[in-house]
Amino acid sequence: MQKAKRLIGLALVTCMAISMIAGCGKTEEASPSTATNSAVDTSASTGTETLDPVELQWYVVGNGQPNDMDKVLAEVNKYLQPKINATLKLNIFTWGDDFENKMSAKIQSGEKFDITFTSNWACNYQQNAPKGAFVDLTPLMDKYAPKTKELLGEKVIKGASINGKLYAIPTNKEMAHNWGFLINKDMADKYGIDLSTIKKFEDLEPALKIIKEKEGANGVEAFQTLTGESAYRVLDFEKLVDDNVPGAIYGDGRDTKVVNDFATAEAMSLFQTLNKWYKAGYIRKDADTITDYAPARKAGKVFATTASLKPGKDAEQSISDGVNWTQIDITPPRATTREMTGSMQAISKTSPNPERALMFLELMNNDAFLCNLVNYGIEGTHYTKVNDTTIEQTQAGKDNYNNSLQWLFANQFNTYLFTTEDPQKWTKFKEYNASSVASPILGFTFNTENVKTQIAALTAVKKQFMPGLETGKVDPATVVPKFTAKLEAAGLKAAIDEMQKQVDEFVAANK
Amino acid sequence: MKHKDDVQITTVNKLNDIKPFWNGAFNLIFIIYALCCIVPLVLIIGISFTDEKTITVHGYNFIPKVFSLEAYKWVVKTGEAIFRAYGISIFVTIVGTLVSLAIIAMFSYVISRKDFKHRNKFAFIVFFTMIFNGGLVPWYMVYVNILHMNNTIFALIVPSLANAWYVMIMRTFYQTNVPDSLIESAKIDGAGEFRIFIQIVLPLAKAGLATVGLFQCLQYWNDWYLPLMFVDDANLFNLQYLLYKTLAAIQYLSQAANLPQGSQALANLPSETARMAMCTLAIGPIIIAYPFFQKYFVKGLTVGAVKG
Repeated sequence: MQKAKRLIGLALVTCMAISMIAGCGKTEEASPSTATNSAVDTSASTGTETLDPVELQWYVVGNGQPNDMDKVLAEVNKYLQPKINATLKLNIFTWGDDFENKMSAKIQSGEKFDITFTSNWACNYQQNAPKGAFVDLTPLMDKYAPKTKELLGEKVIKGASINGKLYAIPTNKEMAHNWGFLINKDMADKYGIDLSTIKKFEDLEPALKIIKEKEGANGVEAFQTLTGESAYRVLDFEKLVDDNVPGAIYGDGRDTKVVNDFATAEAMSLFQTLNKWYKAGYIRKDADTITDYAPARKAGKVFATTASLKPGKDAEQSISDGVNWTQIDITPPRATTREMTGSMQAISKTSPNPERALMFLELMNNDAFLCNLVNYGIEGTHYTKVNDTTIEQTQAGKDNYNNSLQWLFANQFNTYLFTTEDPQKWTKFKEYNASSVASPILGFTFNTENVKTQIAALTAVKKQFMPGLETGKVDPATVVPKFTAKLEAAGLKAAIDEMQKQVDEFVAANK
Repeated sequence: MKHKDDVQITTVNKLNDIKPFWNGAFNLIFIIYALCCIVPLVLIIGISFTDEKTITVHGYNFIPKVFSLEAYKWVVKTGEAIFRAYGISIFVTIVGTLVSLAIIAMFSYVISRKDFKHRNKFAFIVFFTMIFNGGLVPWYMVYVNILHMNNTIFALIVPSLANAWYVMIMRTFYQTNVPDSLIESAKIDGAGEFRIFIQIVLPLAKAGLATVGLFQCLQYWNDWYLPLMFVDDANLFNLQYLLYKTLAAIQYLSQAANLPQGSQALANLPSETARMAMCTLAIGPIIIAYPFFQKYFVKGLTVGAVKG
């Protein structure tokens, strides 16, 4: 009894001690951000040349940690230490929940780390940056990353900024998108379909007819359009919230008037075409209940589908699907906030050495050797050079260091190409970027705060009506008016007005 | 030619017997339920032995149309990671279950003793955590910022060590199965607290411990959430987490076509059959654990009822 009492007493004391430390932890947590800020100021003003050794912790999303990460990092560190006296610790987390949960726990708890991947689709940039999770890089760029600033150019930096402040450095890659078709080339060749005549969406119809007649019996979908992954996106509206919420400006940048894109004449005509195709049997009957687009494509059971394109998208897709695709561009290349914020690296507010982290990113962006080392591993072990710009992966590289994250690590234009890729790929990318037209509201991010309830209601209505329309299953002449009426009842006007107000303010502020 | 008594007995028996209709109905319900549990398992095993191409063309089959060991070959080839994860899972399950059993057994024993003055306070502390908790972020901060357990094996064990619900179960178990008079007589015989606990109380509580042990064992084996939250180091991933990660990634990527090069990333993930092979391997050891615990499990339920 006595012993038990004593034990319990001990447990109680430990409990209290822990809770006291926990209490202290909170006050401690607030201080690093102020501390780092002052650190930045002093080093910026004095411009100290001697650097203390630091370790940089970098988190990104991908296929998980490759087996040979430690070996590659050892090489990276050998190279980094003489340059900026830093060692790198790189962690590649897994797509989806794994990365999201880990990063949100790390950010919310104020855990110390230096760099994280952020974007509009993972570790959300637009949500985390305004909350103060990332360091504002605008004042640091000139001193620590001048080359990167020049490399990215004003258009990209503007697009990646939030209220004029840059919180993350975009990867230098294709910075525009356009929409068009992916066509199964083998099938097209087999039936002698002339793809060069296809210039706009409706032009595809004769080809679909042939495929339906010849291959329909084999279970081939002449045209794949599924819920979410649908042909609707070929209209290329610049959505202000996301795909589920009505409210967009015209993608060609004619003006900055916000419209309900689901009820435009363009949408109506597209729905009618889809409905016609559905009735003709070009689209599978259960398209509105399916979201997984991959299996049918990989099995070679899809003739045509819509896709977001860039130069060489067909070759890329062919490799991953094992189907010989060819692409047909329908819309011209456009640069929107979405591409600029598609893949970026942010420096955490909790980073003990934000300026060193930025120096590292500067190096990643401009040093081809370092960039390729992180991307492809060690030359001779993980890949062999075919010529100056082309490499071939070795078996060890395929098994133990196969990240496929060229679009993520800093500067894609500095990376080697595989022998299977177009040697002109980067030149084409640069031309593509240069030819793209910037959106009139580049850098705009809609703040949903005031219309949260409307947005939730509008999303629900969209999910009820859109699957039928975007797969052509229902007749748009009767459904679209119903759809619009339901949207109006769900607060369409309030939402559109709020969007217009914010867009107008943004345009006025950025004149 | 039945005697009156016989008739009576049979009628009594008949009255007590379950009606054939209900008997059949219950059997049917349980057969269906059992099938619901077993069929998916069989399917998974079936798929894991099927040739990958056959799946794309013919879909899933219970009996492989084209038999293939490719998936298991893949598992063995990428081996190191999976076998290490296996090791981690086994270690964590064994150590975690034993330590947590020790903690739960001791804590609940103490609060089950009527002569311990503060037992209600301690019971309240435990009970309180069942209703209220600090939420995800404070929970995470305690382990990471204060205890610095992230990226250690402790992060996989410590958070599930004490479970309020099992403490309550064990306390009740002690109260109903270990009479106070027994403890008193042991005291009179000169036994100390530890001797009473270890030599007298614990053997009586075997059935209860086995029940809690089984639950904790499953909890540790099936856990993927703790590594998800606390472990970045690939050397400490357990088997369930490896599986979860792969499945979550595939699910995510296959629904996000306009992700930059998402499809290319998808191509690098293990194939359908390989995932099923991993799944089959993950089921293995825990199925062996069941019969071992079951002996006590049934006893634990009956002991109280018969004596009561």
